[in-house]
Amino acid sequence: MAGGLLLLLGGCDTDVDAVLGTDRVFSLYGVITPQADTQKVLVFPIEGVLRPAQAEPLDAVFTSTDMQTGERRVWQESLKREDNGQYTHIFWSPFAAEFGHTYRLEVVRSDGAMARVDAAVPPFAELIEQETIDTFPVVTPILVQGNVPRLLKVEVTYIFRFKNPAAPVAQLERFLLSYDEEVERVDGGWVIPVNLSRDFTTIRANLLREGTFDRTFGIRLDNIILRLIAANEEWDPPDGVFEAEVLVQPGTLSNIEAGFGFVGAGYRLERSWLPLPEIIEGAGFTAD
Amino acid sequence: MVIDTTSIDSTRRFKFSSWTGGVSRRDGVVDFPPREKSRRSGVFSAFSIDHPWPLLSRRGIPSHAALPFALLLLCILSFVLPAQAQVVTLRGFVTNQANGQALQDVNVAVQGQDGFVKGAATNRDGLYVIPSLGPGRYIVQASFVGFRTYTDSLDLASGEIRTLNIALISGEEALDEVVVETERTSGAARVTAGQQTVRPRDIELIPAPDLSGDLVNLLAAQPGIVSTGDRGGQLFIRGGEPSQNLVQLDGILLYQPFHILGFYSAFPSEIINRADVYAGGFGSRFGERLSSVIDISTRNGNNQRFAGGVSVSPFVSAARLEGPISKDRVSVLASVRQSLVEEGAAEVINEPLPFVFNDAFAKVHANPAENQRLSVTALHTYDRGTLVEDVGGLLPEEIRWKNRALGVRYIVLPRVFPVLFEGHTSYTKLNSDLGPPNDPTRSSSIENMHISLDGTYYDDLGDWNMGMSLRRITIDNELGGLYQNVEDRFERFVHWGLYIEPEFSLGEEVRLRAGARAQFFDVRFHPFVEPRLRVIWQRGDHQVSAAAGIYKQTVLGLNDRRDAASIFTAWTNAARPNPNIEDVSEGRVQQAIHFILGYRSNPVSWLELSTEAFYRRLTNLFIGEWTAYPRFTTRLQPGSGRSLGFELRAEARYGAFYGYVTYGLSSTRYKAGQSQIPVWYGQETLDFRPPHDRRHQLNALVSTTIREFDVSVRWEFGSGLPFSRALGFDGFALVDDIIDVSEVENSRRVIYERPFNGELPAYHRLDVSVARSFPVGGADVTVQGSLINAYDRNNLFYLDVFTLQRVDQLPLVPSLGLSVDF
Repeated sequence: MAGGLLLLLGGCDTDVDAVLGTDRVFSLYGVITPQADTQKVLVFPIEGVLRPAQAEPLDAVFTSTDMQTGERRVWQESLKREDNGQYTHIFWSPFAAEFGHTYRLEVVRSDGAMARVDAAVPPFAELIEQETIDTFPVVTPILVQGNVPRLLKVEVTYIFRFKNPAAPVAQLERFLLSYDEEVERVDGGWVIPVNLSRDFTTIRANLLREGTFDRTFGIRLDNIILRLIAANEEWDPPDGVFEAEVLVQPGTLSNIEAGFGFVGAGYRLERSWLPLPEIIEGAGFTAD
Repeated sequence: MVIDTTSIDSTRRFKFSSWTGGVSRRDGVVDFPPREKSRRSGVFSAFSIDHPWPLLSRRGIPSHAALPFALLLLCILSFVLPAQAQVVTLRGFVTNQANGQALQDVNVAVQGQDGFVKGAATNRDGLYVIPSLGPGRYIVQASFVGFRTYTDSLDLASGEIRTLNIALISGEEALDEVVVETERTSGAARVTAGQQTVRPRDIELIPAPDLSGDLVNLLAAQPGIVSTGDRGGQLFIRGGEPSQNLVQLDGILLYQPFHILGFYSAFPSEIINRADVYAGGFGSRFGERLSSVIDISTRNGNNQRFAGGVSVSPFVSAARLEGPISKDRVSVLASVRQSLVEEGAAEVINEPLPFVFNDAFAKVHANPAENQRLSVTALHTYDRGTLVEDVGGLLPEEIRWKNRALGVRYIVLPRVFPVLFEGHTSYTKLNSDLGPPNDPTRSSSIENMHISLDGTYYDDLGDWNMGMSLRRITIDNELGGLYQNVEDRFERFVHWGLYIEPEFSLGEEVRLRAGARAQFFDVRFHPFVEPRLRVIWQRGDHQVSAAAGIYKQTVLGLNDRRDAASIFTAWTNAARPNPNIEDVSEGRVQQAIHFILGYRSNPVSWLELSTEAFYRRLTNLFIGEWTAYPRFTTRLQPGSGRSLGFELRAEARYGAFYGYVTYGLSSTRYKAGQSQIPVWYGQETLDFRPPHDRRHQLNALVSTTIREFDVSVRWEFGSGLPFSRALGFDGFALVDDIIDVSEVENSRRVIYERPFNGELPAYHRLDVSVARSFPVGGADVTVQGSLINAYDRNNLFYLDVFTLQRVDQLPLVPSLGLSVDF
């Protein structure tokens, strides 16, 4: 009897279900863009054990289909060896995406399991400088003309010179300001009101804080650059912030069916200009 | 006669109650108790509380007066002593004549010529104090189980403070005399408001792989104490973390005294006098920790003759030597142990056991005068080992730590005051490092200089205890990158505290200890006030006890609790407010509020039952952030929590049979406030079970003697611990621009379910030991055979969820030990 008890106790289950498994098969990362001649997507298999990727092809067939034209492409695979010695699987296809087209990307394992994502490239858009409001505050509206679902990373960079009182010559500086919160949707696109007066105040305060600003020399504006990403609707991180520690959580920013990860679609827009001297000075800057 | 010495430390006075047969109240006139064998027949009942400290009194001294009282004991003396001018105090130390050991829980009573009786029980130093006597002639009796009752007569003059030291002769040497049995004060079911006293004999009943019993084996068998098993040396007490436990040896704070192999600590039973384990609700004397106190007193060396012993087993070899440096006055006790695990046990089970540890202890004890005691204690421990196995060709990290400690303790009974003063100073340092021995990837050291002064004034109202403590702590971390919120940091700061805590009786059956501690941490100028309360109600064989208190802690022990094998602890202190540094711990002081309610009873003479319920509320905790990155170094997030549960204990002693069963049910939950939680889970905070939340614990021990063989069998069971289950593993790249994925960085990723949603398998194990002693010449030779994990259960120690590599605790380990004592 005692032996039976010991057998019973010793035979209790000691196994652990540490990894439950999932029916999702692949995680995909990439951007479909008209601005590249070759489209690339990073593919990770979803596995039951964390182990270094093997230096061998992935058990997967990667295809893309242009949902407007029906054109289907089979992508090629490249193995990339990372600095840490691990391998990653990059699938690629030599074509430039079309504005306004939607591409269905499918990754199919040999057993038929498949992950899929539809990446809708935003229609073509361009940046158009509109008439500046030259009363205080001086604002130059920039119109994003085109039916773009979302704008990301809207940034205005001021390129200017200033003089350190102790230095013999002026130095060139760049100052970047985020306009993510400033964009306004309008008929036919978006408007970004570039507020030169407010930005001048910000730049001057920053220079004064660093104690390197010769007020008599002023801040001589050389150029303004507006950059942004015209993105598809799904490319929408929580609170509009791209923070790796947040987004690393699976599912936080994901548009993959039967998988994890995120494949965006979009392109960059950029415009630079130098306002008229009276507008520059009206905003507080100094014009050459 | 019942002398129910529930308590623990410090000198206690009898409170005469329910004395059947012509008994008095405390101030009454009674017949002197006959010198006869007495056991639980209810003559007088003296129960008291550990560490009695003054604060409240029947005279209505308000609690807000605590600080002035604690600032200087003389403040009290200046008021009280004039009233004491005519009264007499009798005090002294009681020792074992055979070896000079202090005897605790000895009942010392005096009887006046008018029949007035008063008494006290000795504390851990053998000290008794009987205050507020009138002048006159008294008969003094000191009685203790196994010893001949001491009787003498004294003439005490008005205002006299007499020191009477008593050396008791053991009963075996005085067979013609009647010896007294007193009620025991320790045992598995003898728990009072979270406090349990442990004696060496209690420890030695636990089966162990060698003959050197160790305190940690008993601790790990207690309900409410969760250990990491037979590797790692980490104890979680009632939901608290290891760094929240105050472990002290003769008053010396030790940071990581438990060895890397879970059977061993720096506390072999052969050096222990007693250990008081406060699973919560501890008094104002103890500060700077949230969870628990393990307060260990070592015994003194034999001051009459040299003695010693050596032992060897496949796990450890040990040697002990003690003896008089100056007979009757100065003694020394030294003990050393060296692990043989790699050479012995690993060969026995044919598995690698990469553990090395050793410890060395020495204590010199002196009686400089009849009213003074002085001791110097030194300790050194070393641990080295690898808790996980070689995985995928990557060498596992080796952890090493080393404790060094030195302390001096001085007790004096001033000749002119009815007061006990205890001064203590100590130095302790812990060095820990992780990685290659010559080039560790992480190292952390914490150094502690400590000075304390405690005093107790004795009068009829109660024992008035107060004291102060000053601690300078130096921390030096070199962590090779961000580890939690700490990188390389050198910190030096001072913590000091004052406390006052009287203990007194309310009526016949209630004993109350109410205290307050003013704790000064460096995070702010003004002190944190921590009230504490402990109440015991006793009637006959029934006792109800309760304790409550507020506890604060700023020193943090940072581990990554997602990984049981990660026992490397980086110590730091809550950051001072600094506008230039962003630190989640800035200005935050961890806090715990404890509530304990217990009941204990002896339904029959051989059986003791007890139950205890507890609740803790925890705030300002710091918890490792979650991340899907497969890494173990994370930042901290603020958290809170609560822990609650109850414990049942039954203990039986019947002839040569001893046994107990204990069961604990508990629940610990943390609430994390990581900033990403609303995004991830759609709620502000996340409530989860921390990885040490063991719901059910069951322990059973049977010990008996069969044909001169001492047999002990222990079975323990613990339900599974929580862990974070994964759905799988993939990779992650940040898509935050029109990126070329062949150029951007990417990393592997764990697809977790919600944190700690899984449960590891239950843990259970049966240990058996059989020992027999033989006299050989002038020595005692003991041979012990033991089986650890007798039915070879595959108990999980560590699971790497990334690789699914598991490391189990020890398999069936047969062991044979031999010891020689002389």
